[in-house]
Order: sequence, then C-alpha cells, then structure tokens
Amino acid sequence: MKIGVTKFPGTNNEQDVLRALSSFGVEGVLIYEKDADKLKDLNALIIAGGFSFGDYLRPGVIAAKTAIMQELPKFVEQGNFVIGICNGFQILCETGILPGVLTTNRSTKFVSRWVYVKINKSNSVLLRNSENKIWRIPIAHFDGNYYATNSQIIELKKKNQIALQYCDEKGVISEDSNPNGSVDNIAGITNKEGNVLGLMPHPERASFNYLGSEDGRTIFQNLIEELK
Amino acid sequence: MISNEEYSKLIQELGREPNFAELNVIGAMWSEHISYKSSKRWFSLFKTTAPYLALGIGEGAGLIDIGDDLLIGLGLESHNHPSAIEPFQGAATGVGGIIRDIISQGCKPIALLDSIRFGNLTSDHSKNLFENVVRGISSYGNCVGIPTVGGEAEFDPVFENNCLVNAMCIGVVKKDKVVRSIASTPGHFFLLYGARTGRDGIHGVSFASKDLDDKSESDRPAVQIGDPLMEKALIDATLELVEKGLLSGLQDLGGGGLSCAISEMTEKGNTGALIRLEDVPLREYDMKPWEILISESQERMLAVVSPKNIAAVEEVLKKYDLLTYSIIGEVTNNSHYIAFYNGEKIIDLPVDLIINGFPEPEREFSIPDYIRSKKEYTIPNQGNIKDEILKIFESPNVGSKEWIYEQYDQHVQTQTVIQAGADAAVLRLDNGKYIALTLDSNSFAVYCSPYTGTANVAAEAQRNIVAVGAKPYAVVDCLNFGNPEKPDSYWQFVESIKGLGRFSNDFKLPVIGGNVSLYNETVNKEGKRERINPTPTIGIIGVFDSPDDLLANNFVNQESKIIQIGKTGKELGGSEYLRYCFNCIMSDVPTYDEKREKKSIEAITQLNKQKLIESCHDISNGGFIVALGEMMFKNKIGAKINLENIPSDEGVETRHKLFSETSSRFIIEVSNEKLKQVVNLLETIGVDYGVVGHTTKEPVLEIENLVSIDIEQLHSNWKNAIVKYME
Repeated sequence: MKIGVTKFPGTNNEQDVLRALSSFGVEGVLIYEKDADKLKDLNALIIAGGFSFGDYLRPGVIAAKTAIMQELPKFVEQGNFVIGICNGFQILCETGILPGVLTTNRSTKFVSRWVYVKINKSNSVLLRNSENKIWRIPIAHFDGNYYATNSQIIELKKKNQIALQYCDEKGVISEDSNPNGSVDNIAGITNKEGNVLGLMPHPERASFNYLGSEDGRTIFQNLIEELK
Repeated sequence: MISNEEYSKLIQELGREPNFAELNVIGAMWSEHISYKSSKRWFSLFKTTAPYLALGIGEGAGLIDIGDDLLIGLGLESHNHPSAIEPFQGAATGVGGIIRDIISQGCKPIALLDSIRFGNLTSDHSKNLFENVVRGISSYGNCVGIPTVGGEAEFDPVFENNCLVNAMCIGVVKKDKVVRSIASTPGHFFLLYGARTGRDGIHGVSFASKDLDDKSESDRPAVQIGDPLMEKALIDATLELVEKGLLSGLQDLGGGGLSCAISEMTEKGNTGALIRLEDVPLREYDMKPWEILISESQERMLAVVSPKNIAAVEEVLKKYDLLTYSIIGEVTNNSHYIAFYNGEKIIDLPVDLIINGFPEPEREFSIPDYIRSKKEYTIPNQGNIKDEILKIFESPNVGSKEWIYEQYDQHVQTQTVIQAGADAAVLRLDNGKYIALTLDSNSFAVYCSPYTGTANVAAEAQRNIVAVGAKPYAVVDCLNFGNPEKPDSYWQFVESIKGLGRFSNDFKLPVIGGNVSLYNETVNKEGKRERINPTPTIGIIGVFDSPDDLLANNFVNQESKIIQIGKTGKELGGSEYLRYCFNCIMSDVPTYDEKREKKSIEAITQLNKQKLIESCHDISNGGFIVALGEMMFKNKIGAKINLENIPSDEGVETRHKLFSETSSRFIIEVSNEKLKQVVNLLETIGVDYGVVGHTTKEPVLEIENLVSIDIEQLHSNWKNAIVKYME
C-alpha cells in the first residue's frame, strides 16, 4: 500500500498527516508539486493542509494548476482514494474535482478552535461505521466558508455526499454551531463516487488521545483497511 | 544616527573620517537596539548558569538540555516601534524575526507566544492597532506552520501611542546538530540565502532607537514587509541543511542587515570578512552599496560554509525554487570587515570597533516624582461588592483572550496538549516529553515598584508553570522601557533589571536570552510626554518529570474542597481592581517574598507528585475572585466560599481577600477523601493555607454572608470583555 501526502511550497500539515498514518504502521510518502509521474505508483493521495503557495491570490488556486493536480482527475477516475484536508479541500474545489467553493469566513477572521461535526450517512467507505456519530475535532482556517448553488446542494444531498456538518456537542446543527458561515453547516463533502473526501476540520489533529480527541482516526483507519 | 561623542570616538579609532557607507554601518551597529549600550552593563546581575544550560545569552536562541540528546531553543523579541506605525507588517515581521533567531541555532521552531499591549479599546486608534497586530501575527505564524499557543494582552491608556508587541519562539534541535552564529575559519564562504535584498527596513534599528513622534509616520519605509511563504521555504531549507550537517555557522539577517550579521559572526570567531556587495541578489536593481549593507529585508539567512560543503549546500538550496542564494564573500583572518562593490572599496572597518567600539554612554537615574510622592490609597468600602465583582470580570485585562487566540492556529504540528487560555501551554514533544510555556507581565505592578513588581512578574510566570504541573527550567525576557537618556525612565529600567536579577538568583533559574526595547516614549500632539508603563515581559519554560504530572486549571468535580495556598496581604497597589474600578494604581504593592514563594511551590509540587490535587490555578491578575471564577467557567461548577478562612496578613479586609494580587498564592481543588492527607502534608511543609470552601453542583458563586452570583452572568462578562469592543 502506498499513500502519498502532498507537499507544496507553503504546505505545513504534511508531517502531521504522516504522523497519523505512521501510528497505524503505514509510512506515507511525500509528493511534491512536480511529481505528477509518481501518482501512478500510489494507491491514495492525501492533500495536506497549510498555505500552499502562501494562499497568495486565493487559497488553493495556484496549487490547482501544478503538474500533479492536473493529473489528479485521471487518478480519481481510476477509483483511487483522495482526501483533501483544509487547504487540500480548497485545492480540490479549485480543481473542480469537488463542487462548490470555500470562501472567506463570515467573521473575516482566521478561526482556530475545537468544533463538533456530525457524520452523515455517506456514500464513502472512508466514513464507514460513523453514521450519526459526533466528532470533536479542530478547525483552523481563514477561508472555510463553503458555498455551492442550490442545485449543487440538492445534488449533494441526493447522493449522500454531504459527509460532515458542524454541530454542537449534542449533534444539533444550527447557526450557533456554524463557525464560518458555510451553507447548511457543511464541513466536508465527497464526490459522487465516494472515493474523494474534502473536509475543513483536521482529522490528523484529532488522532491521539493526548491531543484531546481520537475521533479523526476513523478516516485514516478506513482508508488503510480499504487498501489492505 | 550617532552622537557627536560617538563620532569623535570613531574618528579617533579609525584615524580618519569614516565614509558615508561606514557611517551608516556604525550608525546601525551602535544604535541602542543592536549595541545594548544602555543595558548590557546590567546583565551581569542575572543568573546565567545552570547544569542543563547549553547556550546562554548572546546568539539567536538560548539553549537548554532536557535530556535524550535533545536541546530546546528559546528566544523573545520586541517589534514595538514598527507595530505602532504599521501594525500588520510590524507584528508579522516581529514573528518572522524571532523564528529566524531560533533557526539560527539549528532549531526546528515548534511554538510561538505573543505578548501585546495597547491603549484602551474605547479608542479607535488602539482598536485598529490591536486588530491589525493580531491579524499580522495570525497571518504570518499560521502560514509558516508554527502553532501560537499562548501569550498575554494588556490594555491601558499609557500604551495608546506606544503599543508593545513581543514575540517568543521555541524550537528543538538534536544536540549534535546545533549550529552557532560564528564565523571562525578563514577561507570559509559567506553564503546569503532566502529572499532578495530590497530597500525595506533601511534604518530600522535607528528608528527603533529613538522616541516616536508626530513625524514617525514618515519612518514607514523603515518598517519591513513580511513574506511568510518565503519564510516557510527558508525554514524548510535551513532544517535540511542543519540535518545534513553542512553549515559551520549561521545567523539570521535582522536589525542592521548584513552589517550586523557579518560583524557579529566575525567578532565571535575572531576573524574578518571580505564581502562583494555586487553578488547580493537584489530586488531593486539601482540600490546603493550602503543600502545593501544596512537593508533589513526579511527572510534572509547568512550561512558560513566550508569550501568542501558548498556544492552540497547549493544542491539543497536549488530544490527550493523560491529561494535565491549567492556566495557573497569569505571569512578572513585580518579582523576587518571589508566590503567591495564592483572593485570599489565601500567599507573597511575593524570588527572589534563595530561591535565594541562605542563609547559607553553615561546614563543617570533618579527616582521619578510619582514614586517619591506616592500616597497610600484607602479603599472605598462603600461600593456594592457584587457590582465590583461583575465589573472586574469585564475588564479586558482580566477577561477571556479567546478573541485573540482563536485567530492563531494553535494545533498545527500536532503537539499541543494544552492550548492558549490556561496558566501555561503544554506541548508533547516527539520523544514523549512534555514541556510547559508561559509569557507574562504586569505593567501596573512594575510601574508602582519596578524592582518588586518585576520580581513578582517573574514569580507569577513561574507559578504559571508550576500550576500545570511542570518544573521551571529557564527564563527569557523582553525589557520594554522608556527613554534611557531620561533619568526617571532609566531608573525604572535599572530597578526592574535588578528585580529580575534577584528573582533569577533566588530560584536559580538562568536567563538565557531576550531583548531590550527602549525609547517607548512619545511626545503627543499636545506636547505632553507619554511614556509606557515599564514592562518586562517574562517567558519561562518548564519541563515535566512525567506526563502524569499534568494538572488541570479548572474545577473538575462537584463537592470538592477548595483550598487557598499562601497568605493574602493588605496589598491592592497595582491591582486590576484599583485600576479598573477606581482608576487608581498607586498604593502598597504586593511584596516579593521568595521564602513564601518557595513554600507555595513546594506545596503544589509535592501534592501533585502524590496525586492529591484535582485542579490548580495560580492567583494573579484580579486576585482570588478572578482565579476562582476562571476555575468555575469551563465545567460550570459552582463554589461556596467562606472568606473567614482565607489565610490573611493583619489588617486584611474583605476587598483585599477578594482582589489583592499578593504573590505566592494558588487555589487548589482537593477531593474530600484526600483532604486529611493534604492538610497533613501542608502542615509538614509549613505553608500558609486555608480550606476556604467547596465546589457545588449549582452553577453559582456564593460568598457566605456577602454575595451570590450566577456563573452564567460572571462568565458572560468575562467572555465578552474584549469581544464587545471588537464586534
């Protein structure tokens, strides 16, 4: 099993993702922006968070134009798994692999806090055995305000693609538990086929007991089991 | 620019007139900001040794050895003047600067803390500075992927025109990978890498070494511009060079630019330098040689590389597309800093003259009028106690700082065990060791009595470390003061540094690094002199013997006993209570008593080792009542308190018990079953203590025969203390 973790200039969560994978005994490999030819050797790609290319111009937009990202649609079509975390989610939206956009938080401020998310019935095995679970997990972003048109949202709902929604401790989804203004409190979505997951919260930051939560491990665990 | 006296000395030493470029180099290097000419003479008062000390004051980071062949690097720096003029870039580049200080020793930066001070939030000017300083720190720190895990903020009109921005950075490095900021071997190359050199930050250090005035706005070009993406590449590249052991010396380019880095590294190595300025990669093609010499463009590092390693170094740097690099000269053995530009000699100065040649200025000090004419303040006992309690919780100095730290990425690098908002932040390092970090000050107590106040600020920072269960290891300081040429301002500085010296010797805690920022004074538009409160910011790092020692700072159980450790004094001077509720500061300030402090720390440490404490919080800003409230908020656990049982000095009244900021005190939560054991231990240690009440299921703060307040009401005041001004 070979899982790649992207490292663009300005990516800064790649070591954290590697650490989470490593706790399952899986050593991920770093994939740089020019490494398009290495995609074919991978079974999965995790697009780690951070500030690829400084978030200059717009988060994710420059990364979306790199060689590796240009090759990504093919990789996805072949049924390989792709997980985009935070900046990775932004990049996936910029490439068009996932619908919608992530725009500036309603507060116009960066927000770093522990939130709760509700896991919905999902079309993705990456969220297997998690339906209706409530996870405690950190977010850290300036542009996490998910927006899509009404018809896109209806499509997403139809195919169980709305994977995670911000909620409170008890699982209630409301404006009060929406940290950034996302439509329908959307924190993460999947593609139609369920092999691509993009999410703003950081599962790798909720993967060890000493960090205050292990809820995020599920995603890595499901991925690894699926690739076994 | 340099004084007449300095100019005469320069001519005398050189035996000729300096040229324009040389004058600029000397102007930067003999500035207060770089030369520490008013402050260095006092550093001998600090404790500077410890068995675990690996590198003390003098380079980018101080280093301590925490075992397992791992060293921790610490640095703390101010960026006050730039932030007052251009808050976003000023604060951002302050963060960038301290990070580069840390990587100069080969450390991987793992955490940031920030201490910031502004005028009242009712002032639009201060609000704007505050908002943009936080944004600047957030933008830069988040982007480079270093968590900001703590710090502090204070608001008072004395900071209206002189805001303070201090940034602390912590890093780790394997013992055998440490790099020093030294150029010791003639024949080695100077290799400059990172961003290109531009015109930003010209005369930055000179700007930082004078009072701000109404013309300071024209110094805007002296403020540097930050590029965090470049910094991130710089960090990654540097760590790779360090890991491969390719560098024989490394220093960041901060204040004074190339002038400073080259002269400091050669001075330490007893060498000289031959530099070719035309080989410096430029951002603006028409820069003058003297501008290249003193530009403070950000995100640049200067490495010393042996000829055999140069190819390997270039191999690494080539991978980082964003970075430029260039060999700009060699280390020589003639102890002169010589720079050419296309064959023309631009400067030729003895290194020793640049670093040590300034005439040490006479500095006078005299007790300020406000101290001389100090009167005791009698507390007005007529007020409504409930109103006073509710009011103090809504002071921005007491209230929640969440509005600030939620803008900082606190969890990147996945090591953050306790984030901002507790007594100290706690990180778990890769080797499984836990460390605690705090950054603290209290400018009001220091204003009332610089000596005692400073010793107490450091003692409080130490209590922060103890209150999370760690053992204090080392201190870094940032001394923010007024104009040292004014005797009353200099008196504050000298007293304060003596206070810190006393503390560091009393507790055998080495001061391993820091920074001095003077000239934080302004003459305002009405011609009135405005000076900041003297503010020594103290950072302390603690190390846990075991992760099991980690202590909560908030109540965890209902029906536990609440104990105050340490005795309350009749000491409201400098307290937030007097300042915020009565607009008065001066009165008797808390004494500094190292014996009491040691007893209290011993009590907490021993109780914790024997697993007898449920939670613990130190008493500081706002006094007992604020500490109690902060313990209740997280789990909404109430408390019933009998003030009769608060251990007190003679003459202590209700308001002292509630609001005094007497040093050496903690509140602890103890389960009923363990009470007897706890009391026995406290008696054995001989520390002052009192069982002052118990926690309750009902979410109410009740002080018997005095007042009862819903936690929700108290919490709402506390939570909105800053938010209500900002949104």
